[in-house]
Amino acid sequence: MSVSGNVLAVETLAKAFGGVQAVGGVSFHVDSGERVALIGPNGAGKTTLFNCVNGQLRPDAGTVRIGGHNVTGHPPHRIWRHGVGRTFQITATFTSMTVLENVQLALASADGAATGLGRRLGKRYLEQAGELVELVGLTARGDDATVELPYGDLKRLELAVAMTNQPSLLLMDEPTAGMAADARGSMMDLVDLMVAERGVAVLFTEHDMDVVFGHADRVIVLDRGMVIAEGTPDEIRADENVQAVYLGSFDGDEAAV
Amino acid sequence: MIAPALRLTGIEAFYGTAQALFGVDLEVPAGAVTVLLGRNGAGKSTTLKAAMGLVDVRAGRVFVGTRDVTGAPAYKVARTGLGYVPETRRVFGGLSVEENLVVGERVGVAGTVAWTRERLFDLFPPLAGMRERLAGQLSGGEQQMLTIARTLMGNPQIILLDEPSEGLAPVIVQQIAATIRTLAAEGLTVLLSEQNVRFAMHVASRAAVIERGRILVEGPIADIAADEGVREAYLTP
Amino acid sequence: MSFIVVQAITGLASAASLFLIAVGLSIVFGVTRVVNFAHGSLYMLGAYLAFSFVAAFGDSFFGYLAAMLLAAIVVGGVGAVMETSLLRRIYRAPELFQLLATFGVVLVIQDLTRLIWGADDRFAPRMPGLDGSINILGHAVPQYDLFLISVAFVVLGGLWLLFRHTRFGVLVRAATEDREMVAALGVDQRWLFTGAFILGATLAGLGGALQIPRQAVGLSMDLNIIVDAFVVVVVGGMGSIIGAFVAAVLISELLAFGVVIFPQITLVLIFLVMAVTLVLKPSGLFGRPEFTTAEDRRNPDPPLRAGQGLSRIFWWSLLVIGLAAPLAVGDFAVIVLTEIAILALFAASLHFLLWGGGLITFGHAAYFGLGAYGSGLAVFHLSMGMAPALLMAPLAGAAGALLFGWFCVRLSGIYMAMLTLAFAQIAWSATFQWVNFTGGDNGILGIWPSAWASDPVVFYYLAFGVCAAVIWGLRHAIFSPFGYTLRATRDSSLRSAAIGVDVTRHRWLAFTLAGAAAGVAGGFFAFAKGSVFPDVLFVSTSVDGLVMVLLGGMQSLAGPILGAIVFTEIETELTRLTDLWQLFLGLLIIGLVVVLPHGLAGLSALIRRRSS
Repeated sequence: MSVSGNVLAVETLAKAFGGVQAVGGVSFHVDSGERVALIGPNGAGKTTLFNCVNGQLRPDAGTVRIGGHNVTGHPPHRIWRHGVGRTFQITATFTSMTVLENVQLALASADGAATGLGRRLGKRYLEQAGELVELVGLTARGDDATVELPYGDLKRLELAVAMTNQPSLLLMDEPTAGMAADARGSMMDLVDLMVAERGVAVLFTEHDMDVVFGHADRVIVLDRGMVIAEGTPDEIRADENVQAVYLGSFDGDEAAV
Repeated sequence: MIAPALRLTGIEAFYGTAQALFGVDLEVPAGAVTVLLGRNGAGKSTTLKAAMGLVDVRAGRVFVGTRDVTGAPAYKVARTGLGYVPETRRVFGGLSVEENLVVGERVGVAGTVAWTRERLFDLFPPLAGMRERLAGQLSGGEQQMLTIARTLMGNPQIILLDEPSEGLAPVIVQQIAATIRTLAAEGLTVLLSEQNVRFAMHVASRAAVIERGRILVEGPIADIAADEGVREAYLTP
Repeated sequence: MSFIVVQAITGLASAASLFLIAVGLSIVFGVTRVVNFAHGSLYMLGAYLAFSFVAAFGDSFFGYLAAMLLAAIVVGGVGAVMETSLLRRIYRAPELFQLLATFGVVLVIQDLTRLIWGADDRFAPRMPGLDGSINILGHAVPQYDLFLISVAFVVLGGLWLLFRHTRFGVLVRAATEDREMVAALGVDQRWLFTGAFILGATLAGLGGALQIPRQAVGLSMDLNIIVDAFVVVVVGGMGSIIGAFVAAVLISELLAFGVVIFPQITLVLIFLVMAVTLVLKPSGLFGRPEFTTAEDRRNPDPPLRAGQGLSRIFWWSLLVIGLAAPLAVGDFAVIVLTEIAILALFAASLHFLLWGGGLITFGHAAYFGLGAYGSGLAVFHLSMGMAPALLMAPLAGAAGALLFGWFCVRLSGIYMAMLTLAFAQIAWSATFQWVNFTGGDNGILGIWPSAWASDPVVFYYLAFGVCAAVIWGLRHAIFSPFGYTLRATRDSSLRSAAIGVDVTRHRWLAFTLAGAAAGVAGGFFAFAKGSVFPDVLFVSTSVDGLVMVLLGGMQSLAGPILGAIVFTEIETELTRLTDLWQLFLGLLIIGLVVVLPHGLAGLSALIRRRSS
């Protein structure tokens, strides 16, 4: 395994809450340009693991490396400086700003100008912001207030914002949650486009198995804080361990199955 | 068939601007155990919360019996005979076991008091020995028993159980299954949400499968389980 | 050794009332999530009522006791009226509005109390049977102090019984942990809220009644005790009974010993206790972290559109009127205009934080006052001229904001509001008590403009010019990347951090910037009045600023300016006509919050919607 090819390398990461081991020594990596899905039943530790990587939680043990830099325990705003873009399960956008302004501000931050008291933001980074907004197909809504956007478009806007620092890695927490079934495919096609055009790698959690199997190069399955399987979508689909975890077990009466 | 004990029609529910349910139709027949199957994120918990008035429902209606409770505050819904056992247990951690039961105590709709503290301690023997213990110090299984007991203290006619087997050891899961069967034998209507298909098949007679905020199929659980297409597509990864 | 014991007893006696107040505040907050500013007013009301009842039938031990208990019960009734008539309407309102509305009640009760009992302090007789002292280790300890301590323990025990052994108490504790779950179990919360509020009010009333043999009954009791109570609940943890008890004892003992050892340091001690607690345990000693308010903006603001149509006309006409007005009006009006210009800057700097950053501050007067004192002290101690002394103002304001802000921006919502208030009141007490340096209550006099600016019209143009420039600067800041980033932290701190913004640091910078701007206003205020008094830092100054912002309309950059103009005009006119200015202001605030939450600027939108 070449270290240089890893965009993200997680080593023996562990996190407990009040004696309950949510993540118990997990290791995995994401290569550049790779799409990796992190799945598992409720309580498997996906969210905890995800938040340890994105800086919202500080792991008890283990390391997180991004592009070779040890960022273990760094807060989210510093993780971002290492070229990590994020989207959230429930979209987080700046609701009092227009679509373009959301992107402009993120570009200003990427440029190190977010605390500047100089020229008005409204007139800066317009061209770049326009390009990103066009890339996610929101050009027609550029000057609209963010609150007026339907949920699917908010997800697209988040993606545009996440791309502003030309990331090498996108962390997407349930990229299609809260969307109608027919909108999910086009959202993921957009993610694929980012991978193809901008060479970004993607680590995402997801419940929708069509999304996982249709848009991941590799799938990592967690259960009770441990990786129980890892492989291509086809391998995961055929894995009996994974099936058992998802279907659940009940020893009381096997005949019922 | 008699009128369903609980009926949801065209429910659309939201968290902020994110939509979780896209028109859920569900009928829960009286006196039976119905299970709502689906993977996490499919909308199971939201469906139960929508019935209970705990989530923002912007379209559709909820009927308890023939009574329309759409948009009513949770406490009024509870008083129509609907009992709710939440997913993450949500015991009052700073209160003792006995005090948790006190919070749930309520005379049933028809003036009935089917459940007393003593009967519940008989149903859940482990709790009887720890009446004074703080609920926050109980194990996961004990907390699950306590939340069920707490809801039964309100003498409901219908009980909603949100993923009762989640995160529990197999032996506890069996106890919970036995409890659910006991409740059904007492004449209670049960609607539970589950990911664990084997557990569900063991306790329920009817099933509905939910996926992406919509009900896909509904019917006797044997039929649902026999439908390989459903299992393939929605219950396996 | 004996001295220590006696001093400890004195401290415990002071802790008794403080505990009664703080625990009521805490219980009410735990259940309803409303911080009741008027809780101190209920305490004051308890004292006044007890005073009257004692005068009527308090000439024996039991008569006196009955008078105190009756006062507590009546105050409980007042609480019931307050909860059902006002609080019920604002449970879903933003925290700022809840605090302001209950502060409106503070003002109303102030003036009503003054109407009924007069402005002079009242002195109750000592309690019959407990008017002597007991010899403990050679020191005379008042019997009443020991009685007070026992009452506190009786109340603590009573509360323990109530919360352990009654259904009401168990429900209150359950609701404090998880309100939604309690509702899902079929409990109607309305009566639970009313019950908790009556309990809290009764305890406050009792706390006030118990004070009358110890201290004079006066109109400043309400705000003095509420600030101490805020400190206690912030240190002890919101919603925790035992936290209120421990913190009340801790603070009271610190004061009791501090006063003896080094009186000037007592305030610093409280500051330190609070600071250390909040750094180590942001939710207080016994508090639960869940109480920290999550970001929830149900009605997000529309995007800012700079300098279009009406807004452009507003700003230009304001400038023209500001420049032309002195030519058309008399001397008195010029003085009022100067004050308006200064207060407009104060309000704009507050609006910058409130609206721009979503940072709820109830202590913005601190930076205004520090600016005023910065200039005043520069003149008084360093004999500076006007120009250099005015330069000291923003420095003083910024320095205070830098220090206090470091702590405040780490909290949010209610906690932040209470902490900003507590810091401001500490600054106020410091100017009040540090007589050698600040002149204390007598203030600093003789801060007059330099000869070239001594003409009111010239000074007006100077004040108007500088204040308008700083307001323009704040407005520009809002449109600059800095301002967008600030609004970003308000809209979603999660997303802000995800695009590389250090949210805490940015809030701190904004806090300091607003402090400097408020300092400028304070400096001019000192020269406009020719003097500085501790009043400039008092909570009422902070609330005046909040009312201006609210009156003008929070969601508009013109709002604070408009609000400052209207507020100053109303105040100037009304104080000439009536003594009941506070009553009017209180009703105005309550009316604004309940009826017109978007202010005057929102009124036009309301009318447009109605007519279409």
